[in-house]
Parts: sequence; structure tokens; C-alpha cells
Amino acid sequence: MHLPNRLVFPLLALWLLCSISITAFAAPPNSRQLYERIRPSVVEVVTQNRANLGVSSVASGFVTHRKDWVITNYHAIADSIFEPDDNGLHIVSQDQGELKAEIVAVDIQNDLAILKVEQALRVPLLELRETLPDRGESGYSMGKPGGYQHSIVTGTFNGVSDKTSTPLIIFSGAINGGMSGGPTLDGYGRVVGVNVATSTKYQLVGLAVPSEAVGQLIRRNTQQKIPSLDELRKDIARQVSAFNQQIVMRFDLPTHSVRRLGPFQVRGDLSIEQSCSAIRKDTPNDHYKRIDQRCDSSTSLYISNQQNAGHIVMGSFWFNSEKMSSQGLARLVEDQLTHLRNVKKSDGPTASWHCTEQRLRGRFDLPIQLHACRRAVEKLPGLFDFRFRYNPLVPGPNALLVAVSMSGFDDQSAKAILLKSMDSLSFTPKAAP
Amino acid sequence: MMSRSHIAAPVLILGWLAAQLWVYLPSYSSVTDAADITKLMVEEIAILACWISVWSWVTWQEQGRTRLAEHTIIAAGASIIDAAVLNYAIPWMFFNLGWPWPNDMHNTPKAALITLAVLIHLHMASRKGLNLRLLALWLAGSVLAMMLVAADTWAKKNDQAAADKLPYSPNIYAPAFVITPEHKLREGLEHMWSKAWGDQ
Repeated sequence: MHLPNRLVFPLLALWLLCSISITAFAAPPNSRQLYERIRPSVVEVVTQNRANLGVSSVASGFVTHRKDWVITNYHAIADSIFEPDDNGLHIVSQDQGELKAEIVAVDIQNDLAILKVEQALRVPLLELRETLPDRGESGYSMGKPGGYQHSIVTGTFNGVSDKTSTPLIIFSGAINGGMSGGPTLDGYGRVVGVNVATSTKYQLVGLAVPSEAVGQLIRRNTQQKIPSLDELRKDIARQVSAFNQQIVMRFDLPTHSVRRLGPFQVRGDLSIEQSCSAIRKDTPNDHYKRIDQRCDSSTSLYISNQQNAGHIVMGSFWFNSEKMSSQGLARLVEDQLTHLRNVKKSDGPTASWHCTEQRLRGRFDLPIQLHACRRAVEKLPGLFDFRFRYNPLVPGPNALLVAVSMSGFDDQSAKAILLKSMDSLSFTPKAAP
Repeated sequence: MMSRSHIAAPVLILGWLAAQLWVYLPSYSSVTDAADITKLMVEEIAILACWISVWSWVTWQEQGRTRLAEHTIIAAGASIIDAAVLNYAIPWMFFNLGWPWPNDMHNTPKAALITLAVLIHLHMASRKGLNLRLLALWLAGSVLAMMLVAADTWAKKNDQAAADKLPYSPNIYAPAFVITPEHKLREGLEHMWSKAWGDQ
């Protein structure tokens, strides 16, 4: 075949271009090339704590979508939302140094935040890849671990963890403290996730928030306006309420079984990951038997260093005695109630408790005595901590006390969960202990 | 020869001890050991002995005689009413009839009983009628005691550590004491929420 001369050069050029493209796609950049390309777009996120003698907490972040926006983790900047007077927020870029930053939006369930920097950064925008990486695919994580230099670490992606309230990418590589908020990259330097956590139990098991969540957060917040801190806190309270609604719905799943404690049936597992534990307690003089069951919802939302939300702990205490009078058993329940009265200080700064009592008719008209306490969560309007203790009033040699502790819940969700919990309670006098 | 008062005094003391035991025994005996009950009873007896001794001493100062038996009758009688009626029968009645327990008022009958007993003691200690000097002394002492209690309550309420504790007051009663509650679960919870936290 004879090609006209005028076509030879264009075809040659096209072939050359294709060859270069194919070569480029076939051989992804090595970690040194990637570091040089990505490094300028990765910044330090600094929360300067004035109350703590100016000691700063440092995390990482990266620039995407807009040159004055930085994506980081919510937990890295939470203190500047709740204690703004004590915590100043800055970012440190490679070329422009320290710059003031403000919070545009947060997604507490995915642990993400968007920051707006006081001036646009002269760095390339990182590309988001909103599809999950394949199992075994190689990747990188970037960030600034503690007081060390900015680092790039290699690893492989190994699917998605379903042990958390939201899916997280498993990255088998060293994500260290301080790298939180930095990008997790595929072999071509596209952001597949945001570094968020590392396993304290297993080695080199890092977790990253999928880029899809970053993309959604960006798309939801394209407005220019910076919200006030009050508006941000209201938004956080709304997000907690939405999370609480998910917990209420999970209560209807078959995994939330009902467990037997002697002649009583009580609400069982609160989460798929963590089943209830039950232990037989030693009792003085063998006057009575006692079994304690403890169930934990295992997942909760991080709000601040002092406050978690959406966390439920439920303890059920069954007492059985052939020797004691019903008044004696009532006394045992009373003692247990008194022991339960202490509230952990780590629950955070909150208002004082307001308590009330009510007697109710449960299933099959079972009389139940309920003692309920509530206190407002500071700075999060509409959210409360609750402590419920209820005991069925049944004659005979058995007594039961159920204690439900709920942190960071709105009224509606707390009421729905308590109702479901109390509605699970039943008593069959003839059942063998 | 022994007077009626000399017989009534020990009988009432024994009656009061029995009433105290009756209140304590069903709830305590199976839970822990006899040491708990002994400790509680000894404390109660010591307080009563101090009370009677003080009134007898005041009477001796005023009249040159102690009137120990009469003071014992008054103190033991009031203690029986306190143990059997105020601590047992009235709560039983409230919970059996399903009435709400008057949390803020439940110490009023006890205060009235103590006031009445004190007035009788004072009358007995006075040579003629009611000695106003003694009454004034008692009132001054009471005001001082109330101020101390108020200061203690204020300190407890304003203690930062107290914010971490649930204000729980014991009120679990044996099932036989409790009538079937009025509300079913859903409506009962709605009722409780609006009653307790509706305006917050």
C-alpha cells in the first residue's frame, strides 16, 4: 500500500502521541515523582490551643475543587468549633506559609471538614476518584506524621470495612498520627480517600474515608457563605439527630435480639459487631444469685474531645433469691440503683441533671417503675444525655433492673429507643432460672 | 412503788425498738449481715438517749428533778410515730393509692412531729406553763441548725462534682405495695416527657 506523502508525517505524529499516551498509562509514576507532584497540594492543619500553653495539634489536609478550600478530618478541627476562643485554626502550605482558615462545612459521620483559607493557594488541585479502589491495588498515603517531615507511604487497598457506622477503605500501609486528613491516593495520584484512622490492635491497618463522601460534601456546600459557629453547631446537632434515627431503625433489625435473663426477657445486642456479655456475680452469704448483662452499641459519633454522641450502653441486672422477701429484693434493686448513680466525668461539659419518675404498664400489663434523668449537651441545641433505669415490679423470688445510658441523643430518638427497650421486657414467672 | 410513767417509758422504748426492727428487717436482713442492722439501731438509740438526756438536764436545771420517765415517754412515743407512721405507713399509702410522692414536702410531717415533741418537752421542763426563755433558746438553736442545713444544701448543689451525679432518691417499693400503673408504655412516656421536660 502506498501512502501519499502528505499523510506520512501526520500519521507518524499520531503514532508517536499514542505511544507516549500508552506508555504513560501503562507505567504509573513512582513514589518520588508522585511526592513531587502532590506535595504542594498537601497542607498542615494546625489548631493552636491557647489554653494549653500554645501547644498545637497538627493534622493534614489537601486542596481540591477550589484553590482556597482544604479538605481535612472533622476530628482535627472540632476544638475550634466548640472552644473557638482557645483554639485558632491555621493551615501551613509549602510555599505560602501559615494562613488563617475558617470552617465551611463538616460531615461528622464521615469525619470530614472543608476549610476556607484566607487566600487562594498557588498549588495544583488534586483530582478526586469517587470509585472504590480494587482489592490489592497499590496506593499511597500522604501527610505530616507528628513532628516529622511530610511523608508519602506505600500500601495496598484491601476492600472496605463494615465494622464502622460508615464504610471506610482499608489501606494496608502506615497511616500515622498527624497524617489524619491527608489524601490516600491511587497509583496515578488521584485521591481515593482521606486518611482518618489506624488500627491500634493490628499493624499497618489504616482506614480512609472514601472520596465519594468528600465529593458529596463538596456538592452540598457550593455556596460562598461561611457559616457562623452557631450555625455549624446547629448543623452538627442535625447530623447527630439523623444518626440517631439510623440507630432507632437498627433497633428493628433481627440482629437486635431479645435475651433471656431467668424469667425475664430483655433487649439484647445493640450492635452487630459487639454482642452482649453476661457474667455471674459473686454475692454475699449466697443469699441470692445475680447475673449482669452488658450491651454496647459500640459505634458512636465523635463530637469533641469531651463529647461523643449516639452511644448507648445497656446493663441488665437480674437478682434471684428463694430466701429473701420481696422487700429485700426491692432493697437489692435500690442498692444497685445507688451504685449506678455516678456519671463518668469524660461525658463532657454539660448542664445539670433533671430527673423524674413514672410508673408504666408494659407488655401484658407488667408494672414497671422508671427513673429517668436528662441533661442538655452544651453548645449542641436539642441534644441531651439520658440515664434511664427501669425495673419490673413482679412478686416472687426474682427482680430485674435495666439501666440504659444514652449520650448525645435528641428527645424523639431517645424516647423511641427507650420505648423499644421497655417494650422488649417481659416476664414469665414459671421459667426456670 | 413504780408509777405508771416508770412502766410506760420502757414499754414505749421497747415498742419503738420493735417498730424500728420491723421497718429494717424485711429490707436489710437478707441483703447483708446483722452488723448493718446493729450499727443502724445503735445510732438510733444513741440519738434518742442524747435527746432524752438533754431534756432531763434542762428540767433538772429548772425544777431540780429530771422527769426522766416522762421525757422518755414523749421521745419514744414520737419515735414510734416517726418509724411506723411517717417512714412506713404514709409512703405505703401513697404508693398503694398511686398518688405522686411529694418529693419537696415529704419532710413536713417529720418537722411538725419534732416541733410538737419539743413543745411538750419544753412545757414539761418549765416550772409553770411554757418557759419563754427556754422557748426562745430552742428557737435560736433551731434557726442556727436550719442555717447550717441550708448552707450544707447550698454547698452540695453548687459543688462542681455534684453535676456528675444523678440526683437519685431511693423509692423502689416491693411489688405488693404498688397498684397497676395508669399509663401504657407509649402514652406514659409521652406524659413523663411533657411533665418533666416539656418546658425546657
